[in-house]
Amino acid sequence: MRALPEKTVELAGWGNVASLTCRSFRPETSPALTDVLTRAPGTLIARGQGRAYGDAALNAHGVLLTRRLDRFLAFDAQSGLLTAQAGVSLHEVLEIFIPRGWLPPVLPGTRHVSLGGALACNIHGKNHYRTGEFSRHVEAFTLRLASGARVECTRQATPELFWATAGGMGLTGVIETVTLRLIPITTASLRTQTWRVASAQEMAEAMRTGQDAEYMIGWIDHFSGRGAVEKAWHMRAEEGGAPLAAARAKTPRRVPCFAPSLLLNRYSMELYNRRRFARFGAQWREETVDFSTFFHPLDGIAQWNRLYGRRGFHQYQLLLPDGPDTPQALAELLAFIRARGVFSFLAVMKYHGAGEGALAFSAPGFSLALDFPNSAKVRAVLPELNARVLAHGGRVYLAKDAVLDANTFERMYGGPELEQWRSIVQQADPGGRFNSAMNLRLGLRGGGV
Amino acid sequence: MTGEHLVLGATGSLGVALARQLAAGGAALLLAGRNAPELEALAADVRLRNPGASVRTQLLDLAAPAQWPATLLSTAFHTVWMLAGDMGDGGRDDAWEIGHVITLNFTHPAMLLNTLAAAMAQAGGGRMVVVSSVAGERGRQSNYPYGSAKAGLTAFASGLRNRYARIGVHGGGVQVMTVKPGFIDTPMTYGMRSLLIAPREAVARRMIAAAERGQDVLYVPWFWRGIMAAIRAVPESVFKKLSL
Repeated sequence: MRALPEKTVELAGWGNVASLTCRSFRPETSPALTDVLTRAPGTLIARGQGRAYGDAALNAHGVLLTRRLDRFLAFDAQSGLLTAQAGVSLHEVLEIFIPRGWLPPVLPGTRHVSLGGALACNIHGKNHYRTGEFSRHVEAFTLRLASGARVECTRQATPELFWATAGGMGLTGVIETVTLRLIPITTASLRTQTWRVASAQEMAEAMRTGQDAEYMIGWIDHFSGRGAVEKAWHMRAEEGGAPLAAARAKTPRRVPCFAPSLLLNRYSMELYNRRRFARFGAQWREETVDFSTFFHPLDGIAQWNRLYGRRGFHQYQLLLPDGPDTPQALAELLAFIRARGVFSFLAVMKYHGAGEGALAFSAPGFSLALDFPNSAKVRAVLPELNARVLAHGGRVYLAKDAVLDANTFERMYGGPELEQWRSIVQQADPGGRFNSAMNLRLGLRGGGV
Repeated sequence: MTGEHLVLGATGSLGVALARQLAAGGAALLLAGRNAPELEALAADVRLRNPGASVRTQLLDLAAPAQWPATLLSTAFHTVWMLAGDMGDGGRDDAWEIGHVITLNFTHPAMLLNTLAAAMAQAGGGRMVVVSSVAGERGRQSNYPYGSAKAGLTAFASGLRNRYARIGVHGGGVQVMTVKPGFIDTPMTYGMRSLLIAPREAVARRMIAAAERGQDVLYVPWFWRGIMAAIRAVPESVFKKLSL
C-alpha cells in the first residue's frame, strides 16, 4: 500500500505561546480524508486556519489539516443555505457571497477562520445577544468518525452528535462539510453610533439596555479605564450604503517576521490607546463605515500576531453571567489586572445571550477579550484572574485559552451538561482517536488527565 | 470546435487550481476524472466561485481506454490540458507496478492525446498542454520507471508539436506545449524536505499564461531549466555513482 503523505511540522496557536512539533496530514479529497482517518497511526485533531490562540488544534501525534478540503458544494439563493467543505474559510465565503448580497450571520473578529473551526469552537460575533453563536445558523454538517464513517448530522436526525460537535473542540470527529444559513444584505456599509463612556461599569450598563442594535461592541482603554461603545446596523440600499461589490478585502500588508518583543510595551500600547480613544466624544457620533473596517480591522495586517514578537501573546476572554453586580465586577477585574502592573493592549466587551452547544461560551452576560504580551508577570496574573472569574460564576473561552488547568476547567464548565457531552463523545469515539494538546492539558473528555 | 477546455485529471491537486483559474478567466470547462463524487464536488465549486461559468463533467479512467467515450475522442476541444498520470507506489519494485506506471504516464496518455489532436486538426486547430515532468530528463535510481515514462511522454509531445506545427502553416494546426514542472505543493511532495516546492496556484497561473503565449516548452518554476541542464551535463560515469 502506498505511504500516507505526512509531514512533521512545528505548529503554534495564533498567540504563539503554545507550540508543538506535530505529525501532520493534509488530505485534499474525501477519499484521502478517509485514508488519513483509517490509516494514520496515532490520535488526530483537525486544524483549519490555525486561528485558535492556544493549543486547541495541536497534537504531536497527528494534526489533520483541512485547508485543502475547500470546495463550495451548493448554494440555494431562495433560502440562503450554503454547503461547503469544512476547510473553506469565512474569508472565501465573504469574497464570493457579499457581492451577491449574502452574509454569514455570525462573524468573528477575523475572517480567516475555517467553517469547521467555526463550528468546532462555536464562535461568536458582535451580535451574540441577537443571533447566538455560529452553530445556531448551521442547518447540517457531515462528521467523519474515527472509523472513517460519514454521519450526516442535523438537529432532528442526530440531536446528540449535533449538540456535542458544536463547540466540541474537534473531539467528536472531523467535520467534513457544513451547511450554513446566510442572511441577505443590500449594501457593504454599516451605520454606526459611537460614544465615550467613563468606565467599564458604565459601558456594561449601556450594553444591557442598548440591544436594539444589530451589532454592539465596547472598546476599552485599559490604561485609562475609559472606553467607547459602538453600535451598528447594516445600511439598506435606499439609505445610500456602498455597493456590495465594494466589500472585497484589500490585499493586506503583511508583518514579514516577528517584531522585536519590546515593540509593544507598556508605553507604546498606552500611547496607541490614548490616540485611538481621543476621537470619541461624549455625545453620539454617527458614521458610515465599510464592511471590513467594522468587522475585521485586524485583518488589514496579515500575520499581525507577529507584532507581539517571538514571546507571543495571551488572548484571554472571560464571560461573566449577567447579574446586578456584574458591571461593577467587570470594572473590578480590569482594575485588579491594572493594579498588578499588567495591561491589555486591546480590550473588548461584548454582550452575550443564551447559547446552545457543548462547552458553550454563552449565557446572558458580558464577555471581555484581553490581549497581553506574554511575560512571566502575565503568566503569574492569569491564574489569579481565572480564580476571580470562577468566583463570579464565569468561564474563559477555550478557543483562546492557553493557561487554564484541569481543575479550574472542571469548576468552570463542570455540571450535568459537561457529563452528558462526555458520554456522547465517548460513544462517538470510544477509542479516544480524537485528541488535542488542549484535551491533554484540561481533560475535556474527562476520565483524568 | 466546442470552445471547451478539457481538463484531464481535473480532481488532482493541480487540476483543482487550474480549473478554478481557467473558469475565472472565462473558459468553458469539461472536467474529466475517475472519481464521480470528487468530480461533481469540483464542478459545483468552480460554478459557485465563478457565477455563470459553463462547467461540465466527464467520468474518465485513464487506465481503461476501452471505456473512453467515442464522443469525447472525436470532440475538437479548444484546449486539452493533460494533467492525469500516476506516480506509482515508490515502495514497490515489481513488474506489474512498472507496467502500471508506464501505461498511465505514457502509453494511455499517448493514445488519448494523439486521438484528440487529430480531432482538433480536422476541425481547424486547437491547443494541447501536456504535463510531463523534469523527472523525464534523466533516469535516476529513485524513480526511473516514472521518469522514463515521462521521458517518453516528452518525446511524444515533441513529435506531436512538430507534426501539427507544420500543418499549422496552412491552417488546422495544433499548438502543443510540454510542461515540465519541478516540485509542486501537492500530496505527491507533502512532507518532502525541499525549499524548491512551488505553490500550485502559481504553477497553474504560469501554465495558462504560457499556453496563451504559444510557448513550446515550459519549465515551472523557471529555475528548473537550469537545474536540469546541470543534471543532464553530469557525465554518465559520474552520474551512475550519485544518489539522486
